Amino acid sequence: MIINENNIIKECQNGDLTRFAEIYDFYINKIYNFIYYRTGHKEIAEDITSTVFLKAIKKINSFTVGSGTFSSWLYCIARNTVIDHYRTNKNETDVNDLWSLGKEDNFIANIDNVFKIEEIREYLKHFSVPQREIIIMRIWDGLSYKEIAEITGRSEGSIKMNISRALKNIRKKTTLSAIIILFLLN
Amino acid sequence: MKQNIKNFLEDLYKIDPSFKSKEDDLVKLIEKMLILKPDIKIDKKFVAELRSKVLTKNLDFNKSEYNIKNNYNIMKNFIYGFGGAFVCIAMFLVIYPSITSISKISSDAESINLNLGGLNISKLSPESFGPLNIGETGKGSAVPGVSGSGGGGSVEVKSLASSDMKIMADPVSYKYIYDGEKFEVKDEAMAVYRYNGGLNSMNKAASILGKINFGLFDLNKFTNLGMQNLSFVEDRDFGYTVYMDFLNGSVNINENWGRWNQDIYKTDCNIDGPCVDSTVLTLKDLPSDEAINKIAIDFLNYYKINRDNYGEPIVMKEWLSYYFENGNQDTSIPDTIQVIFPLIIDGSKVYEEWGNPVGLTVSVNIRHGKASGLYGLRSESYEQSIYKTEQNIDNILKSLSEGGLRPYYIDANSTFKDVKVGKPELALIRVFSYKDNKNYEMLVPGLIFDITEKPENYYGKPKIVVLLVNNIVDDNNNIITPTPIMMKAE
Repeated sequence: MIINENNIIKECQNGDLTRFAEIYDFYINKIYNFIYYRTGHKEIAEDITSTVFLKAIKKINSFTVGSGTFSSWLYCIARNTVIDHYRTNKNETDVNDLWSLGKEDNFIANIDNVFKIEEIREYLKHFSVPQREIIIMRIWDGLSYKEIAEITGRSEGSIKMNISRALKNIRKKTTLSAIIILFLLN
Repeated sequence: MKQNIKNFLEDLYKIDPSFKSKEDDLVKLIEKMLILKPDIKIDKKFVAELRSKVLTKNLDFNKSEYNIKNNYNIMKNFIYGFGGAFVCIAMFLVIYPSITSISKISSDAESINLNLGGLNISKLSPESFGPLNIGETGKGSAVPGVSGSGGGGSVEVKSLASSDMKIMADPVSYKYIYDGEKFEVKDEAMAVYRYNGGLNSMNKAASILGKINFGLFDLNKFTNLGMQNLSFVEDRDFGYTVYMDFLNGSVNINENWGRWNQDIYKTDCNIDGPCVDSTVLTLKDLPSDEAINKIAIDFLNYYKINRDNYGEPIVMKEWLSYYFENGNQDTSIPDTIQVIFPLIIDGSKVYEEWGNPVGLTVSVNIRHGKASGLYGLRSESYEQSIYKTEQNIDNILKSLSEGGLRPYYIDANSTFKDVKVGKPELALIRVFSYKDNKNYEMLVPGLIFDITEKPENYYGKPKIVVLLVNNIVDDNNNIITPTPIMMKAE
């Protein structure tokens, strides 16, 4: 969160959109990474990132300071935009399974990332769709429990419950190393 | 053990204390999971471009048609390309009365970082530059009886076209019309830039002089030295001469003429004849744009000239239109073609007043298939100030109709012909503002309209530029006027 983020947002909402630059500079890498993890494609990630920020500045007045974190609001836009992208461009049966959708793209620029993502995919196969999203948000996106709850529409308590269930699932099916992922969420 | 891993372990133990017995394995696994996080490198050019687009989204076209995504490379600070070679120049150099050639730059020399390059923008308060005094728009309106010479006296314009002394065709003036999709200028204020680069390197460069023993005089007797320029030459086949201007922070590269193969021009032929014909290049010898661009790009890459602040290359081929219009496709073509990498400031391309891109210009010698020169490489340093913009579309279109920036003089007796223009591009226009006996290079937001439909024998400007900044002092002296040919007999 940016220092004085709420003040910055209020100034944007009052018409001083130049302050949005601070928001942009703070979140651009985070949002891009969030989208890239779910698309695995540089150009698609750039397209969607562009849409997210243009939407954000256009809809800045729809965010209510105090009703939740701006970060969650922005990530929510990003998540929904990724979903929209796949709904309009792919015939996927489950567009909510963002983690698996990007796999079909043929081009991933960085070969190291390919192997890393593929290795993680193998671990995450043992988790349910909601659990995958929570795990990636916690470990790679670095979001807090509160933010994950707001983005996915869950409470903090249900998040921890999902993690606990995932832990048990992993214990049954995989090696100890996979369990650690879940505990990183804490 | 790192604290973050400790924190993870503490959380883990709270959930299941039995993990304590496997602490070593846990630590290794946690480290591995952290390492497996993909290393994503976001494109800095994309970041800068999107930032500009988000913050200065000025024209409200339909999104599907007006999309500047990935059209430009956006600059950030860039490293001056020649520093790598130049800074390694030998510090202890003894110069004899005759010029000593430096055949090899010593890799043992102490380096001096001149740091000439980089894009620097200093933000000032609004309208810090005062009235811009560019001289401008829409002043090509018909003004009967006004002298075209600007030097006093008067010549009735009408006399030039009167039938009793007509020596040339009736004058033709053009009216530029935009009838495309509606647009608007959303921002009530935009950034104007004033160039202030290249002034800080003279003293640094002069520090080299202190290490030189000329053997002719005592250089140390001179104080507060500043090196204004430096040139050197490559004494090899197809070598270059390099001229470095520390005052302006610019570099020009040209052929070392004597070492580029000039045999082809040695001929005892007459002006016309088969042996001359054999040396000329024609259209069939013109390489593709891709091939020409590759020569230019390879040249820049070889000398490590950073292109972060510049867009994709454009091969300048306006001259080709003359060939096709006149049907002279067998006429010789130039040996050298220009490739321009347009300068981009805060996401906007920079153009000069006639609508041609401004930036790095690489000359490509198509006969030899080599780059023969570079122009426009300099330290890009600007002051930025916000100015109110013209948002009234009617005013913009009126200025457009009259020819925009630097309009041609319109004779009151002209035959007016319509010229249609296409959708405008928002860009920065390089203009010069004369104030306090100094000429300032400015970058001013403006719209560039391409000609899409022109009458036969159109001889006007290929592009029309309309500045969007309001605070411009009117100056009729900047109208392009014809030189009077004949005075009316008394």
